[in-house]
Amino acid sequence: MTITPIIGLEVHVELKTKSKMFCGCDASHFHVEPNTHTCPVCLGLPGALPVPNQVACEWCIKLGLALGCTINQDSFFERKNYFYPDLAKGYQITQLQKPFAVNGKLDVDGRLIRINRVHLEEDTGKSQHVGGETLLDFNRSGVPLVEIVSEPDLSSPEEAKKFLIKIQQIVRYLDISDADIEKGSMRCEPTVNLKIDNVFTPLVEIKNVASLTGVLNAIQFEIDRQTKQFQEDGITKATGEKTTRGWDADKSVTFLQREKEGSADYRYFPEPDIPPIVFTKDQIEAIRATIPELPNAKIVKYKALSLSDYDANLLAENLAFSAIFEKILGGSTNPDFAKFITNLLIGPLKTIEITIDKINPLYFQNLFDKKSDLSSSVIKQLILESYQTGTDPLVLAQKQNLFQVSDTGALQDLAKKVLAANPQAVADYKKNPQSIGFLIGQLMKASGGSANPQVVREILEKLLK
Amino acid sequence: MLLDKSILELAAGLRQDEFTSVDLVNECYDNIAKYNDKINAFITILPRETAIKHAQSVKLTSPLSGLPFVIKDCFNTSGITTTAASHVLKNYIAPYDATVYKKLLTAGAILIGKMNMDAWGHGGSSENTDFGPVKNPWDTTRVAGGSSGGPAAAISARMAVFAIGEDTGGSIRNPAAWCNITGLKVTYGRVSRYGSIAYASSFDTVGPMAKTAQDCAIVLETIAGVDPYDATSSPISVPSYSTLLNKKVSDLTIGIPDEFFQAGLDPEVKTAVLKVAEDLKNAGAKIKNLSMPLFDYGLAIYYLIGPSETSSNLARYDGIRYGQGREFFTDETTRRILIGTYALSAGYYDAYYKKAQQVRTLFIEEYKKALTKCSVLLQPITPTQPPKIGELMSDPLQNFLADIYTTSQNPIGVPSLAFPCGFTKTGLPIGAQLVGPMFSEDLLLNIGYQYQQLTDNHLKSPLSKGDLEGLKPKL
Amino acid sequence: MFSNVISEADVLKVAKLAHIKLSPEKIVIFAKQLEPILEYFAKLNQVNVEGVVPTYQVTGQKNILRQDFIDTKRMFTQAQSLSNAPQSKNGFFITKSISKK
Repeated sequence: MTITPIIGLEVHVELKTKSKMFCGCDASHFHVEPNTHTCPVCLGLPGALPVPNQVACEWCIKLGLALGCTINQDSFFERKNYFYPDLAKGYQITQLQKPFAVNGKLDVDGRLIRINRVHLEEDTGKSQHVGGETLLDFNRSGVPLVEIVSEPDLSSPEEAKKFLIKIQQIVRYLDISDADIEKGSMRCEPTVNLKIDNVFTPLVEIKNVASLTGVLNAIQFEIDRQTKQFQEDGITKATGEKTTRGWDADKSVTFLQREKEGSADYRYFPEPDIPPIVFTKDQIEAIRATIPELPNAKIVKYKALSLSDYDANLLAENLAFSAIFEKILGGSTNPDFAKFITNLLIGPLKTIEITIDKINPLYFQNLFDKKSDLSSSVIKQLILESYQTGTDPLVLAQKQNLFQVSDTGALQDLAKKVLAANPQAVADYKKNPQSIGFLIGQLMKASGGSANPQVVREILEKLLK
Repeated sequence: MLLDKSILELAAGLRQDEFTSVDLVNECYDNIAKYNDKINAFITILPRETAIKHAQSVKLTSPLSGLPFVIKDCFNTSGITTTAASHVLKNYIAPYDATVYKKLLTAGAILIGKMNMDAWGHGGSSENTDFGPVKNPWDTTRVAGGSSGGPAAAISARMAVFAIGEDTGGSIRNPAAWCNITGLKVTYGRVSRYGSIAYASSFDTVGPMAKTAQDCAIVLETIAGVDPYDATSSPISVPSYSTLLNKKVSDLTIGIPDEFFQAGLDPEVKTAVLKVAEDLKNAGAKIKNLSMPLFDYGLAIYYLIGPSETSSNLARYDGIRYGQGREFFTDETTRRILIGTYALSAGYYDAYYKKAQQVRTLFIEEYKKALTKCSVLLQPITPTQPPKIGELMSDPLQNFLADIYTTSQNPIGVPSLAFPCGFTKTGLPIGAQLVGPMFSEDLLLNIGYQYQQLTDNHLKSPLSKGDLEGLKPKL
Repeated sequence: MFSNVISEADVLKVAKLAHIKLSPEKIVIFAKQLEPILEYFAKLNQVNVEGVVPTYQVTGQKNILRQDFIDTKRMFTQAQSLSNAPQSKNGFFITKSISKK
């Protein structure tokens, strides 16, 4: 039995505009008193009318462009009609026939995952079920959401997770959303089915996945569950039908929410209260010009500097971090220097919060030039202190007398003394050359830790011959 | 009676200290006390003391300052119950102001009532209301028309100087015709809809109702204009309508579309409406007969698109954030919601909703073409005289067909002025409408004003004999 | 293309979509009342709409958008938001729980 998972993702990203999608209410809603960021529009009062947020439209297009989409120059909003207590108007204003962006793609570790659409819509209010009651807060009602729908091109839970991480990175690079899954500013619904030999299992949409690990585990659980289920009942996919299952993170299972629904009848029709939106080619290019170099491109660039996959990905993790790396690197193409900077950035400098304006590339260059005269632990200490005080690390090293002793004459004398003081260690060495470590340690100690370890090893080895 | 005077006369009188705004308010409330029980035009009568206090403090900064007015109960008015004539909103106290209301308050006008109507705008007789039908001041066994029946009856019975109504498929024009007043269905987007409870989003218009075209012109100047809270409101500048009424009609051609004057039109109504053309011809205008073959389809496109949009607009009434539950919708409203939901549903969308929107495009072309052959189109407003109360409600199909002359203008967006043009043998009012190109309110009001210089139908009042009962046939 | 009969099952289905509860008697009455109205719509079959673009709104306008700033004049206080709520508690609107969406 050949089992191929078929996975699609629907991702919602909450835009961090100041105001909501169709009204001027404050769009922030995290830790805000309930129902204090509302108005006739987002509360769905009789007679209220929507007016779209221009920045939200531009950011949706920006994300579409970053995902390689074609932008529909003529676009419009539609009403998706359904009833739920947290949906104030009894319909959601969204896009269907003419979304802002279509037909994109995203490279996930060499595989091109196709993006069906990137469109703009409004969020609902928040419901909390307590006892037999539902508590409703409309602060979130009307907040702008961008919906990204992938084609079912993902082939494993890990790939799905990577896809999500990349989306998250890109969204953060564009500075249009915090894309925080725990806080709910990025949400994800996987749709999973399997190809087993030549047939397909029924489609399942998974809701309530609230973390990246959740995505991984929920999809894996579904793959296993569908495999077992198919072996039991052999039921294959029916066109247009989809079952909804919820992910229970505590029990690590998906559970049935809605059985075999045909697509719900949302009675979409073009939103009569909002005239269509037309972006000219020039306006779209102006938006494109504000897109920074994106993570995938940066990773390619960094790997060309001989940095490892791991390091390249870490540096490209966010725009601020990569900007710091690139500021320090300047125009250099020296792989050793690149590696040197990387180690300092992901090592000592990761322990504190650093900002780009306090970074002085010259200091890194200086340290790099003198690295053979300084032990690696000293270098780490110096870069931290240099950042915190704004002083040239070499000046600090000089002051604190940290330059390694490479003067072989002085070291030779010290070495002879160490060997004389440790006859057992010398005997051990004769039996097992690997045990030189102890003697190196002793000589380093005798030299106050400032000797160059490589030089120390060479001296000892020569003397012990 | 002071309330027989025009807005200009009232504004002058106030400024010349012939009478005060308090006098006007008192006359309105006296008439309300005398006649409203028989007419039932009001859902909420604002307390007399409140209105008097307002009248005492108002500054005369605009032509509408100090003038008592009423507003159809589908407009949000802060702190005042706003029901749309439905028990669903029985206890809804508006927490914000409709833009049109705000503008009138700023102009110093004095609100005295929220008016009875067909609930949600669903109707042409003001009988589809949870607050009892509005009776026609000219014959209280008959309907006042709808859905803005309350405002029309109030103007007619001299309970207010002017009113704000709303027209989606004839709702200002129909009651204007049956109550003998003047009403203007504006171009779609001319007046902000923000705060007006939506019936059909792409048809709804907000407009003035008063005794004359000149009065309507003055009100329109104040309420028209772009609104950042309404994305469909027009940025086209607002002309000073009241200064543009004096052009003579001799340069104009009045178009008469044959299809609007066929079988099904009451002969007395037909005669009275066609006489408008004669009167204008005697004043120098030219008449031209023309054909509008799509006339037959106007009702169908209105009744497919309107209910579709309303089925969606009424989805917010779930009784959670305000109001009562959906079980309080009347049968007529329920029918419209069902029709609309059906027309939009999977499998029917293309055949019903989309097809109607395509025919709408053809209709727009037809009106455009017709209006290249003439300056304005003359059309009847209602196919019959005002029916007896209960007649239309007992027959949903008849009720539906009664809108035949007023439902094609809204899907197109064109403006139409409704004005009195005669009476039946039994003394019931007849109205006519003039339809023009988009944003031709100045032209329509001009012609209306000129017509009203030549005729006196608009001057007649059901109170002529001092009492509603005394008005029957003799006029 | 138009069905000339709207069945009671249709009325029930549509009422459910519209979240309107109808008694069995009402369903029968409405089916009867709606039938001639839906038949009337069949008139539109006589019009040739080949290649005609639908009109969804008549303003002819485009790009009516707002700037992204907070409109404090229009925002409600919590009390104002809840002022018409049939039921509220601790700043929230309350309703009886229903099945998940």
